[in-house]
This record gives sequence, structure tokens and C-alpha cells, in this order.
Amino acid sequence: MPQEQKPAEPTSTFQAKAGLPASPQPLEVHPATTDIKPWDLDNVAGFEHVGKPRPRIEGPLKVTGKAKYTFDIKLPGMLYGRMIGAAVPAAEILSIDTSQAEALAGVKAVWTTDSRVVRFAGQDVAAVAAVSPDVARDAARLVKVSYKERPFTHELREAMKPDAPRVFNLDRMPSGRDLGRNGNLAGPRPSRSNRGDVEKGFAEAEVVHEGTYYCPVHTHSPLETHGVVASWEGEQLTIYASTQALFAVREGVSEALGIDRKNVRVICDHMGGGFGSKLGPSATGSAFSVVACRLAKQAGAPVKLMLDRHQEHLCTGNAPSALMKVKLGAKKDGTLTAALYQSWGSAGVAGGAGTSGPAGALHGKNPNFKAEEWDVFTNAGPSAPLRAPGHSQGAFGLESAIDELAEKLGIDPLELRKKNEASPVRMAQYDVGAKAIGWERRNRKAGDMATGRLGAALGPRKRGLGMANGNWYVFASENSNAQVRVHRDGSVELITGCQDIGTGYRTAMMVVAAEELGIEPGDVALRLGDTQFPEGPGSGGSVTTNSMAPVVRLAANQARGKLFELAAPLLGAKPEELDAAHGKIFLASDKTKVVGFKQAAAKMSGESIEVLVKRPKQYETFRGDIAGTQFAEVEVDVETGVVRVVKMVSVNDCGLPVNPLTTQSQVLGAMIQGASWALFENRVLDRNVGTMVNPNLEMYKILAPADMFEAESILTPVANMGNNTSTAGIGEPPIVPTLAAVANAVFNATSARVRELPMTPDRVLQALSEARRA
Amino acid sequence: MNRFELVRAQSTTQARELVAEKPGSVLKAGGIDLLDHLKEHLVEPPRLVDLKTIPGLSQISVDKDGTLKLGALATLAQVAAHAAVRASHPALARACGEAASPQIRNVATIGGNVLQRPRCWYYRLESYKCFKKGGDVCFAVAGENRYHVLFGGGPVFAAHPSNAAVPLVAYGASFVLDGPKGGRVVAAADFFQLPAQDPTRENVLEPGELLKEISVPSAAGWKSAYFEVRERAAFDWPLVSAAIALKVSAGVVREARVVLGQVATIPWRSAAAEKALVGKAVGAASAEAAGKAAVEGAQPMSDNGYKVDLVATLVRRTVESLA
Amino acid sequence: MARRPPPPDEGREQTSFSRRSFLKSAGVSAAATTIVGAGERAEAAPAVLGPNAVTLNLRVNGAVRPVTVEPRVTLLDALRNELDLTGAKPVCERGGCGACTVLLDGAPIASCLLLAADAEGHEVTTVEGIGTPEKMSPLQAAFVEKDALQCGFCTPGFVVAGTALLAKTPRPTLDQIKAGLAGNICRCGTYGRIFEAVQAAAATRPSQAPSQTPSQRR
Repeated sequence: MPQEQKPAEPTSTFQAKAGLPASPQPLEVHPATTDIKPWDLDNVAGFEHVGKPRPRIEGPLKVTGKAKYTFDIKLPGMLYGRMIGAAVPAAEILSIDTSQAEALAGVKAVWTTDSRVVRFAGQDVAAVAAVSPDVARDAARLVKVSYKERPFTHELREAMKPDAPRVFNLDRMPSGRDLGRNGNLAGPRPSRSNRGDVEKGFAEAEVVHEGTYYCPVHTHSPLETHGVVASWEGEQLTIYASTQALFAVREGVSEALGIDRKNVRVICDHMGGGFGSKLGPSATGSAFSVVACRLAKQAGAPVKLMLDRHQEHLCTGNAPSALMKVKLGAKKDGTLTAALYQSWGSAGVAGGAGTSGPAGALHGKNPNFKAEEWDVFTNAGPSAPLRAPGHSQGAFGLESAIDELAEKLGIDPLELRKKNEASPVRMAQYDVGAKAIGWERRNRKAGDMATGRLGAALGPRKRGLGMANGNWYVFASENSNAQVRVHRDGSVELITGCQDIGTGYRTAMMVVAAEELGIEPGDVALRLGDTQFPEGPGSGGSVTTNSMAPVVRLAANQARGKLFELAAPLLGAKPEELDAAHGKIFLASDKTKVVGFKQAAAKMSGESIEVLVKRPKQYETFRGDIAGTQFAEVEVDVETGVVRVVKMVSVNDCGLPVNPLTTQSQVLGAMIQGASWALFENRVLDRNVGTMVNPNLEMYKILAPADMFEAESILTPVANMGNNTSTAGIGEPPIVPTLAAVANAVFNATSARVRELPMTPDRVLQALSEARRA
Repeated sequence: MNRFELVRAQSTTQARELVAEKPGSVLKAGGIDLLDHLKEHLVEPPRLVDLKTIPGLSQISVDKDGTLKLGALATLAQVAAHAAVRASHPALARACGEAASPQIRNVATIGGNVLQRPRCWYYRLESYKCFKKGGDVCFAVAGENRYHVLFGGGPVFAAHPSNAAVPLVAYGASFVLDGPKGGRVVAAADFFQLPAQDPTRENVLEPGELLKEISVPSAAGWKSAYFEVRERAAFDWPLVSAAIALKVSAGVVREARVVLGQVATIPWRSAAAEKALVGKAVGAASAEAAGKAAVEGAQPMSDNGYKVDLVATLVRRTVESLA
Repeated sequence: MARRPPPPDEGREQTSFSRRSFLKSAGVSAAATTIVGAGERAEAAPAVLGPNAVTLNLRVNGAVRPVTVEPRVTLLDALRNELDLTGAKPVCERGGCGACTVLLDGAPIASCLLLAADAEGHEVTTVEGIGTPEKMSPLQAAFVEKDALQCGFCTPGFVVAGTALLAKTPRPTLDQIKAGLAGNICRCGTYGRIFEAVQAAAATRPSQAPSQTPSQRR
């Protein structure tokens, strides 16, 4: 009988080590009595599999083109669907005429929206399903929509103007009800980190820096666009989805269709990236999943509906732009006395554009902090969380300001940060990163390579070093379940509904289960990505590994317990005296008394042992956040304004890395994505017509192989992240400091301060000429 | 894409006739620019006539007098890799070799490259009905013009997109056209047309004509170079480019050709920069003067003023590289 | 690229284009046409393909794979939707990202920007033709070993481009690797490890001529 975890379990108490292994702190933790004692970071070398680099198990499928993504699914009789989005940014829909589309040979179903208000170009208007992608495109073009266009506002700073066209009536704004509303603004939203008295703090300051910083809108641009294959069999609906959250798809679609969840099955074996845009049932700006299901029902055939790249840019979410005003006060010795952080962010037609996270979390010794955020609405697609949402923008503003303050104070920016650091983890990370980048080579005088040791200036190409901090949090979803099944023949299955979004989750879970069971990871057959399997969390907030690892371990532990009960009589021992490793079960005190895993399994009375476990409660830990710091070396051609990243060192903590190979890949990937945002990416809307002029991958420029730099990732494991595997997520934290680290390095190289991204030649040349004038 | 017929021509005459007999038909070479147009419905031809099946259009050869003959269907990769081109016309080899990506260069042809339509993002989006698509506005004027022109604009301001055209003009190339009234040869410098004459066109190719071959005179006695400034290190349209060819004897420039790319509606020959070089030694001073002269008469738009400095810098550096 | 005339069109749909109408519209220019007797196919009169579906004889991964598609169908769509070779991926559809890269006569191309019809007469190699999970090529194995992939959607394109790079330049420098892969984008950020994988695979290559890929075998 499968076991279930009940809520409000009685807890046990034990002493744990917390923090850095080099300088542990004592901590008393209270896991549920049904939970198991956490893995000890001191014992990493003693693990068989955990902590050892391991190529990902699905690698061979991916490198040979055999891995099937949603975009690859083909079902018998399948039709191809296509969305039609609004062509204009603000309008009333007067009519939608699908008659010509319906009359086209090969068109099998049509859908139109009931909504008559358009607030962004790309908003769902209609959809068709046809026998081929080409016919679907032909049909889509035959749908005639007539609009009564309205004035629109396309960009943050324009939308803030008092005479800007209104995106919403004040009572319709999708921001918290408690926020003030004015024009296109909702706010201010105070930060939860507000503390002290900033007025007093500024009064005490000996030096003050004020600066304004700006980040544009970025799109997620996963390579696999959003989409689903929807297939009905009677009342049973099967959806193949390119998703980060299978169960959210099931929940959202069943609710929208008014059907019972149990009749909806969602499958995702492999998916081609999401970065936060695929956490919901469809996308934040389109209900294509639901539409595909309706088309399939209407047509009586499965429908594959994938967005194209143009649509992907418009309606699947984006990172809000941010305008940030930062004011910092400090004593001459660098002690911060006050920080005031104000940001205005545009998430298009959505709210939630806050960026004050880093400002509130960093430089924790500063006693006086105040942050206020405003949402600014524009007639553009709604945002979706994008890899540490709001944080890379917020860190750009704050950490650039800290750097400018350091310059004013004449203090090394690394020393300034150390002086105000409250996190022992980050404090330890500073020197690790500084050593790796060679911080001592830094130009003492910005723009003057003769004052540093970065080599001789190559004519107009100047090098510099910069750094910035990041922060993140330990989130975990307790709605995480795992099933372990040991068969009588000794084979083992690990079954989790949770999806693998490409982080190496699969492999990590096999390692955890294998470690606990004392077998090889290759002997764990992992089945995942199906809502028929035990429910798992959405892969957002960097929760997946630390949500699932402890429950996988617990399930494996319970299965192991049952195997020990079977093995005990064979060894003339009690189950609690046994241990397991290398596919064997043995007496812990006398390893010669041994029986094989398969031998023990063969003793089971039934066909299999099943254990189904819900994740134990996250227990309190010495801190609930992730640190992180990053160092960058750049080269700037001061005549052309072209910036090249030469090297970046990223120091992060993530609890216990189960598979350091894939963990490091996450960090390296985040650095590259951050550098891409810093240097190139910019969603551009035409200021007169309001539609996106670069909805492609040609002029929405993503960092490419020729732009690649030397990237180094250093992990500082931290004990006790609140669960029995001491794991924590890593997908997001490393991206937070990147924008500022690059900008600060550019300053060190050139004495030019770029306060607006991306750092394309035009902005860098502008900053250079301002620096020369100063 | 719209539904179309595909016909594989076997001669240039046949190709022209196949186009003529079905109005709206277009020729297809590598298809790179054409497929982009088709996918965005910028054109909806009833028929595509394939030139790739015509023998003899993709040869690259060098005449005894050093004239380089490029079949219009030679790919950018073939031009860039050709030993003779690399040796005698390095600016052309470089422009072809740095264009786009390896995948594009393996299919895109030199003929298609010089004939391609602008990359202006308004032009490339169906929803913007600009001058080039029969409308009456250039959206760049009051809109997002950071990638648009400094010279030769009006009434459209889209930069001429061809990288290869820039050194071809610098080398004094000629385009050999095949047409219903027989062939004609047009100097590259005369081939590209300012929008003031006809905003819907970028060159003088008449309906029914096709580009067969590009003939590039020997560059013996000339030193030449081509450089670009790009945002991304590779696989990016240049912000500005420059091809400079100098004939130097007794330490002094006798003839100069300075051609700018991506800053004008046609490959832009800078007479002022050339004047600043003729009679001077190639060095820092003349390079600086050429750079300054090259931006004379520049008419920046609201967001592309940064290109002025880039032009001056790039011209200076390109001249310096020939010292 | 080898350029051969289109193969014999057994099974090709009869077209509406007739020799007589061609001659009529061609005026006096008879250079490209041959006058033949009634009932004989005119060698020089080209067939009109489409706009309805036509059967194309593609050679993919060493085998003849006929597909029946409209001329407007790209090679990418033909491979994926008609031949179930879903390794090459649709990402940007405009040649801007390399995810659709396949080899045409050994050279990497963007299959989203090639009409399937234009692949006739050429050898197409997809990622599936480079190796299988059971028998990966050294480069594919190196990708797995070095963790040069995350979500994997860009991976087939990189493997194909990387295979072509190594065939041409068996011991590439880092700059040559960057140049050879310059047309491929990865959003997850795997570039550093991809470079390591290419270098590792290069190091394992024998110093003699590279082995034949399946498409080159007859």
C-alpha cells in the first residue's frame, strides 16, 4: 500500500551543521519524524554517486535527434493549428470574419475570441486548424479582422507621462488592489525589506550618490516556441506540452474547458527551453493550449498548435523594462548609512514589474533602506517571470550605483562591498572569485590601464575588471511526490510527474535514488513528465532539484527499508543493522555478511514493492536565501564602442550539488544569458505604430558562439538548505549579477558609465563622450 | 509562403521567358533572400524560376589579364574560399567570408547578395506598408532608425544591405546582365540607384533582365582592405563597413576608392575621402583626414548619429591597415 | 555543391505545362528548346512543379526517400513532417539560428531556407545520419561527455555544423571552432562546453582522411 505523508507531522530535533563547510554554524533543525536525517556536506567524498560529475542520461537521445519534443510529436490524423493575434496595439475589435478561412479546403476547425478589447499586438483573436502547416497559414491569412484603433502607449518612459494614453481604466488595472493608481501607474509598492529611517541615514551620510539606470524589455526566446498537441479520445484529453509545469497545464486547461482534471493527461518528455515563460497553462499573453483543445474537439482530430517565432516574441511573456533611481549614502570609510531604491517597471499589460529584490537583500549591514516600486502599463505583451524575475534589472541598478559610490569614495568596489556585507556565505565567496579573476590586476584608475596589470592597452582596446553581487532565495514546493517501485527481478523504477526542462533533473534524481538504494544510477529506470505520475512542482524559482531530491531520497529510503526487511533473515540480522552499496546489502558491522540487491528483491511476496511519498516539509535553515557574486573582465574598443566580455567568474552556492557537471552547466548558461542581455538584447517597438520591429532572431540579437568568453563557475557548497538532501536550486542566482558586473568592468576599462542597456556601440560611445566631458 | 509553381530553367534565355510568361514570377538563385520574402509575404509570386539548374553560372575564373569573373550563382562561400580571389581581391573575399553565417554562405550567391532587398526592419515586416511596398511613407524617418542611413536618403532611408557590393564598387566591378534586348554591362558604381529616382528599387535591373556574371578588373597594383563594425562578433549585419582600394606608387596614393557600406541607400563612394588621400602618403595623417572627409555631408537621423563617428573611425583604420 | 539535372521523374505528377504553350510564349528564341516529334518528351522543356504536391526524390542519410509535397514546402518541413526526421528543429524559420542545420553534399545549410525541391539531386545528411544513441559519432559522444547540451533543442544543429567543421578542419583552433559554429545559437548557454566537445572529438580523430559519413557511402 502506498504510504502518504500527512500534514502537521510530529517532528524530531537534531543538531546540524549549517553554512560553509569551512566555517560551519550550529543549527537545530526539526524535520518530520518520517523524514530522514539530511546528507552531511562534510561527507561528500563518501558518496558513491552524489557529488560526482555524470553526463546526463538523455544526452544520447538529444545529440542524435531522437529526443522527441512537443514540436516533434506526430499523431495519426493530426491537424496543424495556428493562432491569429491582434495586428495593432490598442483597439476595439469590430468584427472577425472567418468565412473565407472556413471555406478553404483542408481547414477543419476555427476559433474566435469573445473579447472585443485589444491591449497589445499579438493578443489572441482567432485560430484555425488545417491538414498541413501551410494550409493553416493560408487559412490564418484569410481571417479578416476589423479594428477600431485606439491611442496606445508603447514604452515605459512614454507611458509614465501624464498625458499618455491609458492602457487600462483605473479600476481594471491588474495590479494589487491596495496600490495607488494614476494614469498608467500602479504603486508605490513598498519592499518587505524596508528598514530603519532613510532620511536620517542620508543626513548622516558624508558622501551621497544618486543615479538613474534603465533596462529594456527582454524576451525569453526559448528555442522551442510555445505550443501543444491536443488529442481527445472521447472525454479523455491528452496534451503534449512544451512546458515547465505539467500540472499547471492540466489544472489551467481543465478549468478553462470546464472538465474534470482526471480526464486530462499532460505529457512532456523533453522541452526546448522556457526560462520562466512556460510556467502556466499556455503563456501569459495567449491561451493557445485551451484553443488547441477546442480546435481538436471541433475537428474531431488531434491538433498540433505551435507558435512561430514572431508570435513567440509578442505574446509569451518578457522581462519587464525597468527605470531605477538609486540613492546611496555612506560615510567616508564606505559604511553605508542609507539606500533609497525606486523603480518603475513595465510588464506590458501585466503587473508585477518589481525589481527591488537585490536592493533589499544586498549590503545587509546597511541599517536604513527604503524601496518603492511602481508598475507602469504599456500596450505590449504581458511579462512572464524571466530567470530571476526583476533581479538582474534590480542588481544592474543597485550594483552600478554601489560601483559609482565606490568611485566617489575612492574605495575599491570589492572592499566597499565587504564592508557592508551581512552574509557569511557571500563574504567567503568574494575572495574565491577575486582570486579566480585576478582582481589585483584591476585598473586603480578607471580608464587608465597603466594603473592596472591587465596588460598593455592594445591601442583603442581597453580592458577592465568589474564585479557585482547577486541574491536569490531558497524556494521549495512541498507539492512534490515520487514513487519508487522495486520489482521482484531487482529492477527499479523511479516515477515522478515532474518535468525535466533541460537542467539535468533526470540524472540528478537517478543519482539520488541510486545513492540511497546502494545501486548504480544506470539501474534506476526513470519515468517522468506525465501527469499520470505523482504530482511534481512547476520548474520555476529554481525549485525543482530541492523540491524533488528530498522526496526521491525519502521514497528510495523507504523502499530500501523494505528491502532490508527482506534481506535481514537471509543475513541473520535485524533490518536496522544493514547497509547497502554497489548493488549489495550487507551487515554494516561485518561486510562479509552480504546478499545481492536482486537476491533480496526476489524474496518479495508480490510482484513489486511500491513506495509513494510526498515531500517532507521544508525545515527551517540558518538562512533562506542564496548569495552569489560575479567578476567580469571586458575589453572595450573606445573608438567604436564595441564591448567584448573576455572572462567571467561566477561564485555561487547551491547547497549540495548532486551532479556538479549539470550544476555547473546551469551556472555557465546563466552567465551567458546575462551577458547577452547586457550586450545585445532589446525588444524594440516602433514608437509610432507600436508593434515590434525585431520579432525574429536576426535583429533580436542573442549572444552567439563568436561572442563567447572564458567562463568559470565556482560553487561554494553550503550545508543545510532545509531538506534531507541539503540541495538548493541554481538556475536563477547566477544571472542576477551579470549585467552589473559587465557594466562595472566597462567603467573600469574606460571610465565611461553605461547606465542604459543594452551596451551597444551607440550607448557606449555616448557614455564615453560624457566621460570625456566630465 | 503562397502556393507557387517551381520551374527549373536550363538557360538564362529560358529563365527570362519563363518569368515573362507568368506575370509576377520571380527568379530564384540561392533562395536565401527570396524565401525570407516569401515567408513574410512581401512577395507572392505565382512561379519561381530556378537559376541553379542552369549550367555555367557559378564558375569563378581569372582571365589572363587578371580579370576576375564571378558567375552570379557562385556562392559566397565559394567566392570567399577561392584562392585567386583571396590573393588578388582580398576585400571581396573578406566581405563574402564574413557575411552572415557558414550555413547562409554555403547557399547564398554573390548575385543574390548584390541584388538582395534591404534589411530595414520596416521593409521586412509585412504589416508596415512603406514606400518600397507601394505605400507612401518611410517609417524610419520618425521611427526606429538606429540602423538606417547617413547618406543618400530620401524618401526612403534603408541602408543598402549587400556586404559584397561594397568592395565590388571599390574594385570597379561590372555587372553582366542578360536581357530580352540582349545583354548589357553596367558598372557596379552605376548599378545601384538612389531612392530619389524610384523608392521602390535599389538598382537599375530592368524587368526581364537577370544578372549573369560579375566581372572584376584585375587589382594588380592596388592595395585593398575591407572591414566592418558589428554589434555581435559574427553573424550580424554591420553597423558600418568600408572597402578601400589604393593605388600607391613612389610612396604616394595615385588613385583611391573609398566605399562605405550600411550607411547609405547604395554602396557609398566617398569622393571627399578619396580626395583626402590622393597625393598623400598612406599613414596616420592621411588616414585621419580621410576619416574626417568621409563623414562630410552626413545627415544623421534621430537615432543613428553614432554611425558618424564609426564611419570616421573605420575609414581611418582601414586606410591605416594599408600603410 | 554538385549540380546535376533533375533525376528522371518516375511517379512525378503530370504537369499542366505543355511544350506547345512554352514555344508559343518563347517567341523566336529556340536556343534552349529542341523540336521533337509529337508524343516524345521535349528534353529542354522544363517541367512545371506544383503548385499542387509533386513527388520529390530526396536522398537522405544515404537512402532514397521520396516525399510528395507542394513546391513551397521547405526541406526542414519535408524532413520533419514527411520523413519523421525530427532532429533538425524549427526555431526561427529565417536562417537566423542554425537549429535547422543539415548537410547538403557535406556542407552545412539552413534547411528552413531551402525548398525541399532544391534538395533533389543532392545528398542530405541529418543528425540522425551522423549517429544513433547506440552508436554515436565521436563528436556526439563528446557532447554527452562534456555536457555540451541542456534542453537540447539547438544540439542537433550544433552536432551537424560541428561534424562539417571537423570534416573540413580536423584540428580546429578555438577561433576556427567559433567561426565554424558562428551560425548556431544556444539559448541555454552551452557554448563553452560545445567548444570543449569539438576539441575533444578532434583530438580523437585519426590523422588520416576523415571517415566517410553515411551519406557519402554508395
